[in-house]
Amino acid sequence: MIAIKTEHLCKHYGNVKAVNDLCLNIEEGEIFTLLGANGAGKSTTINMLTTLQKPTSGNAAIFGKDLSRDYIEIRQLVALMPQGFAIDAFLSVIDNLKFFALLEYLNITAWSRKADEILTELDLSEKKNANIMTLSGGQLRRMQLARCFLSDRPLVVFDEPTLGVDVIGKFKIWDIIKKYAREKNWTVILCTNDMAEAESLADRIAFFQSGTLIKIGTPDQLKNQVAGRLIKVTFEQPPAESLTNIGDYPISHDNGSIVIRVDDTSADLRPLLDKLSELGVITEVNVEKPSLVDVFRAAKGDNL
Amino acid sequence: MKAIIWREIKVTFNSVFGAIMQFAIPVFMILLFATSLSGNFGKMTVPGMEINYIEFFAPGLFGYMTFFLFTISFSFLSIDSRTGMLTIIALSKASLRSYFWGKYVFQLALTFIKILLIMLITMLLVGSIPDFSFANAILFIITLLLSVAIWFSLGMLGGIYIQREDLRQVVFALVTLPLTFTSSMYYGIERMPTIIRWIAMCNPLTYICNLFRGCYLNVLPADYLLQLSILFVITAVSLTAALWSLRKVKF
Repeated sequence: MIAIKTEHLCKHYGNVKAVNDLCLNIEEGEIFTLLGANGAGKSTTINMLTTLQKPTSGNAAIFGKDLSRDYIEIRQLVALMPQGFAIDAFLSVIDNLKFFALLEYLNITAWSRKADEILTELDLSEKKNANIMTLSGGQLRRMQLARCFLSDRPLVVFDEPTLGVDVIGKFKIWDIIKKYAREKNWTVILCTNDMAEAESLADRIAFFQSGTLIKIGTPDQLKNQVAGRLIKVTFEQPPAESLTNIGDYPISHDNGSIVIRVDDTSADLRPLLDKLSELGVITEVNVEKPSLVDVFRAAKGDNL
Repeated sequence: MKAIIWREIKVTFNSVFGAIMQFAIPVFMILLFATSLSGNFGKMTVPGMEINYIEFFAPGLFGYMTFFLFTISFSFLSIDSRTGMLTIIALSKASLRSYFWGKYVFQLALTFIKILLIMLITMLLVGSIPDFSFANAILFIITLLLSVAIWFSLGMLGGIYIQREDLRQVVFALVTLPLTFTSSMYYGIERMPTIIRWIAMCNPLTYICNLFRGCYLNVLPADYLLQLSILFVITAVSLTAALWSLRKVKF
């Protein structure tokens, strides 16, 4: 079942097209990732889908509700973890959660039990009564997660959920998001510019550039679209930077090594290897499948 | 609305310092400022009687306590907008209207307590109890409801439309001092230069202070119904504008 359907959604600020002609479907229970550089239009997209910004043109349906008409109902379907912390600095951890529970008209006894469970799961039970100012960046992010988990809404939107969090903290947050999303069959929109985060969490990824959706698919589909293999060759003496191709193969330079994209995986590589060996003594050869970074660069038109 | 009021109480009285902060300004203004000025000004004349400056100033301070809400609601809305709390509230089952009314109710109650405190200190300093008639008490409450609504709504409007911190400071500088000095808060407007008196007559704080003073001292101005009507109109306009503008909040 389709949870979200956008039709030619646009957001323009004067001449700047923050989001341009966005058409996509997101399935119920799917973790859908919006990936792109800063200013690519990801946050504007989620702001429109969560009713916080009005589209300039186009429309969307969220669980069958019309974005332009039923925005009050849509707000009851969405839990948002915004990029900023959106936490009251004058309240403790538990009081912030209680405030949210009161906003949601939750039963306080049931809420209290649920809050304790969630805080334990997020390793925040010891910080329950702590002043917000004493929490680390990772703890603040986990507190925001706790708020999302309390709301129990079918669409959960995470805007850069691990921004400023260390690697270990990121793993923890990714695991928790994945666990809750699967258990509760949430439809998740994840907005990030972290390729590893997208790869770890996403069922499907949409690449954005300058407000436009440039590629969409599962991580494997996207990687397969960047055909072939990447061969990284390291020489004892790095070849001249002016070298742009070897035979018919265009190359790029990477810290003294050269990277060659071979689109046809069945091609005979002996002529290429012969040409490479003429460049000098080869000390290392790596053959890699394209990563999401390569997919993004290819979609942008960068030479790999 | 319950959530908003709960949060206001928690944030305001989270610590002893928070509570002290709330009541320090009215207490110092009546204890130090008014007492010092009363020594210099001597007696003040209001229709039909001569009174101590402290008694004259106390109702002006009631008006100032409501006027103070302009900066408070302006600042808090800006902060909640910047920190993303408004986004969380807007997407919750409560709404921005609950946010508005929750804050209004809390600030109304807090202002009422501050006014009672000022009254108590004034009575202790002057040694007499104000002669409130029932009608004056009702009028006093109406004036309080209207004046809190006016300044609170105008502050909210400022917070909604003015996002820049430097511009907020400019507005405070251009609004707070001129409005207090061109009102009947510290002195009667009868002896002001003509041009300032005209400005004072366009200033809602003048009518608020006049009505508070009239009720408190039991010497209502002859045109108090006109002054009350002016406050009603300003309240209606500012409240409507603020509630309508909530949909313009930028997230």
